[in-house]
Amino acid sequence: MLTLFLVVLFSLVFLSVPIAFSLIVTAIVLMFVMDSFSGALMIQNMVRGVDSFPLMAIPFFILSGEIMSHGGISKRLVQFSGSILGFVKGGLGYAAVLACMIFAGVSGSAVADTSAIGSMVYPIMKEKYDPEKSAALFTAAGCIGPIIPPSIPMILFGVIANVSIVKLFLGGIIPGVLIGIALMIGWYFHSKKMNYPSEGKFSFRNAIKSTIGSIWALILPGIILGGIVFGFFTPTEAGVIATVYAFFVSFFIYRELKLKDMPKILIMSSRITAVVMLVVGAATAAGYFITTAQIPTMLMDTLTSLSSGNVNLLMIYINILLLIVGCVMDLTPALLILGPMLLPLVLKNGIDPIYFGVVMVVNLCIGLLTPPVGTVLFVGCGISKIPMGRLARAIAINILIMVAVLFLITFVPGLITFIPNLVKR
Amino acid sequence: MKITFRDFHAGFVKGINYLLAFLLAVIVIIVFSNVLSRYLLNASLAWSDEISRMMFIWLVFLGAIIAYVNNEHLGLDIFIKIFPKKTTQVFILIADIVVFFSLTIVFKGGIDMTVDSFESGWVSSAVPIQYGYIYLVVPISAALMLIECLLKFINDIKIAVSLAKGGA
Repeated sequence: MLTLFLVVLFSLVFLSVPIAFSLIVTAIVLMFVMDSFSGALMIQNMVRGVDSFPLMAIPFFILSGEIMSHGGISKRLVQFSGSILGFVKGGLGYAAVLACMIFAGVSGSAVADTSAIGSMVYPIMKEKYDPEKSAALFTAAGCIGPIIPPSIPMILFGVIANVSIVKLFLGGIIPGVLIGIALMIGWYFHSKKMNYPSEGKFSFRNAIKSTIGSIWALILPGIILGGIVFGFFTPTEAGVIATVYAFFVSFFIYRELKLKDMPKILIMSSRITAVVMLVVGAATAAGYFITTAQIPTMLMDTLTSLSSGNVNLLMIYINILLLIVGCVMDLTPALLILGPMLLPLVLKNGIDPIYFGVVMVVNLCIGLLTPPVGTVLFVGCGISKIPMGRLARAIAINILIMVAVLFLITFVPGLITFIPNLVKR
Repeated sequence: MKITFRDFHAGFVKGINYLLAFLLAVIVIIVFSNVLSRYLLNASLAWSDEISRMMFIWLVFLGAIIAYVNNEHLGLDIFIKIFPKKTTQVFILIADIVVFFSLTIVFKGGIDMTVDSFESGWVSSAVPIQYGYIYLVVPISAALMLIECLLKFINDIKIAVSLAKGGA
């Protein structure tokens, strides 16, 4: 059954059938094999997968990100980061990473983070630094978007694994900051070698000015995270608050958002949401029949015998499997297909699901950068107009840096679990 | 003035797009009102959760149509692209047929589920709306995607024919 399932699913995916439809056909095939065909049952499961209040955070965080990049908020974050880090050699590089990290605190998607910050910093960076290395830096840093909370993949994982989204969010903080710092260290060696200029002396006045200018954007991560952690609102409500807040600031305070842009922003966010959620629905439907067919148990037996009960070895295997899958598959389907299959195995071996969820998300975020299918890599290419092959070569070192952080957090689980464990709920 | 099929199609896509924008805006307003009313009036709106989730389901399935028209659904086309162009086109045609097949099952299952829900009179708990109205979006979405799939298939056959002619 496991072989049949994998063969059907992957041959359809390789045939270029969209993943949502591949999952639907897989569900149909499984139903036929188990001799219990029911289209209605499949649809019921599909709608059940979409019918979720926690998952409604997804359109909200997509929408708030879109409003912030149209409404001048991302521009001010870049100015702010530039004013405090510009005085160092190669300072705009560090500023780009910092801006990505702050934007990650208000947006939950890597594509949004990369395009919002990348489109602002790249035009300036390419004038002063090596264009390929500049593009490689902001593209990699954009992947911090779904690692530092809020995070769309973590919302998805929380729902499929039935664990606290708040704890997953908190677990992403240290790994996200570590990746940011690691990327900055990589950039330090590069800018030292190339002897990049600085942006002039540090000016306290400028720093204060840009902080005040961007204060509305800077306090938003605190509002979102604080509100969720202290139980003022759920992650979904935080998403809607971020949306209304971003709209208010861009429209009434910065006055850069025009009402006539809103339909376009709403339509774009709806479409991105529909693409993600259709995979969620199809994966829920397929997942129902996958579980009925006892496929996770079969996979569990295989991986358990391979790792012979050693948890570290098991995590190495899982990480390698996910890195390979991440090369060819987008984050959302990889998470939704493999998450439910790996979870029973993880739980059986006594691994903390919060820890596992964060490792899985960080791992698959790296997959967003790897060719041949790297959604964020494509965004980086789009912004910089650098061909994929060349950007992929320039970004290889950043990918290695991120893989190093991935294995660090894998083997030092405290880096993930420390903050979530401080919270009782 | 003659309205061509192309104009009609563009109008249809535009109409759904505006419906999506409307749905998302209303969902934002409903969920935000609930937060406001909880803190300012000390009262949760019982219906806000359910109504917003119903609209969300409609948004997802209607949005799926537009994503299909724009070819935005997540998928891999790199494997079929390593083959010569003609072979790639054959794979694309097979993929179209697979999508068509899966949509017919979704359509049929959607109809069954909708009819079942209406017959049982299944009503959601907080608002007197029948579940049938929620499931109704599935056959609608599948039917419209079936039409889009057929259009895409005809177009892909045309490309295949021109490739075959060009290669011969």
